[in-house]
Amino acid sequence: MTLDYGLKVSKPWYDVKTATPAQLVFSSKYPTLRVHTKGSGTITHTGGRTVTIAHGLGYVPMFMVHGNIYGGSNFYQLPYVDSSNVSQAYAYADATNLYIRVHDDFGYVRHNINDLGEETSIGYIRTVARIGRSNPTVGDSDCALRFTLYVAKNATIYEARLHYYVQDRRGSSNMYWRVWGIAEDNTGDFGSDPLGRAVTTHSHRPEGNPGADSYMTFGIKDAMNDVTTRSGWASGNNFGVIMRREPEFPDNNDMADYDDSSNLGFSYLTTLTGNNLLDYKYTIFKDKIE
Amino acid sequence: MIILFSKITGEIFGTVDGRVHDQAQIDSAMIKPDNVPVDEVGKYIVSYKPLTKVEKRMQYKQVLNPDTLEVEQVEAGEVEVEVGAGLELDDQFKELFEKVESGQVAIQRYQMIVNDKGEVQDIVEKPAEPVAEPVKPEPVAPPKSDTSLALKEEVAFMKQQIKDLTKLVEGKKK
Repeated sequence: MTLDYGLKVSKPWYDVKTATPAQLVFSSKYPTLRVHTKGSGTITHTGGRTVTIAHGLGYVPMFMVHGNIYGGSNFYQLPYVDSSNVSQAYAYADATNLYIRVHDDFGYVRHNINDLGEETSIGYIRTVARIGRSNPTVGDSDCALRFTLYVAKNATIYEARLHYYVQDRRGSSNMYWRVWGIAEDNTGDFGSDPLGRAVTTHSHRPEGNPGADSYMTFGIKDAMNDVTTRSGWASGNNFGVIMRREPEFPDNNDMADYDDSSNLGFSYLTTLTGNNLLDYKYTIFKDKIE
Repeated sequence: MIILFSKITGEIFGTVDGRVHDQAQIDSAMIKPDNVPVDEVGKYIVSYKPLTKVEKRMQYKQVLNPDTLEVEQVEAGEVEVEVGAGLELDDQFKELFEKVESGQVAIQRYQMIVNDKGEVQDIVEKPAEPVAEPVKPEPVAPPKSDTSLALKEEVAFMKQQIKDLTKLVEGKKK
């Protein structure tokens, strides 16, 4: 004998006594998710890229979080995993809170290198970009890199990072160098030695101890801002940087980004020009995660 | 709706949706970025008032039919009854919240104007942020190779090696 009792509510125009499960809007026969709270908000860069939403249920509840990953009005269910298998936006819960987090790289725009060169004691070489004591014969070298930069004039630059591929490394001690922007509205071709060009008011003094075959990343926001606020700057112009050794730089310590022409893409810039990273909508259920 | 915001900057962190909240929900509601302490988070509860309307409803009474000796229900006239008619925004920022409720605007695009005590004085639209421009895929053009200088570097290196070897040979001869 099949028991058929409880409460049922059918969709309009269906007889509740004969309605199939798909024709019901409620049946006490089936478990139903119960909403605890719903809401929305925005994750910002200055807010630490994480938002905490209290639920206070005392157990880990079921939840759903959606975000406008691509910045428009379409919302996608998190997590969002990029093509490199990195979770760029995700959510998790404990017995007290729901957390929504975006990755440190989320929201950054990448700008590709289009020219480079180095200055050594034997002259300017356009095919290589090295910094430090690159070769006992050639001597010390400073270098310049140029990128096509898609940042609007006078845009607020929250972060600007230079990612520099270190192909080779001599020595093992800490390195010190200084980075300037090239003070031009649209940095010209590196056909002639770019190391003598006017530089920005602001400079950056990164330091580090990179290994061979690794990336160095450091901020150049202020130097970039000096260029993107120039009267002749426009998005899509070329932005150049000059990297020189600091006096503390010890001999026989160098890093190099050799240009075998295939390695050109290994240096790039990323910029963050917006504080609002992700609009989210959340739903927390009273039901426990089983 | 409960709006969670910074008592310092007025930035809106998020909302808890809903028109009716009990005190426990209001007390426990909290949305904040990681780097903001709990005591810097303000809560603005959007106010609603219940609406009522008066309906005329027929009253019935039961009487005994003397012919059939059965109890029958008969109309006893209409009476006016006050019934619920939903909720209406009753808030100083009613016009804005009507737009929020209808989906015309997102509250996250606004910010609170707060006084020294963190009390809300006004809600205004945030200045628009410049939209990050997408990177146009551009082929990375290889630079023109400066063969003469690259060769110059190699020649200088080889000269140095010859010099070192010469010294070595001469040293052995001695």
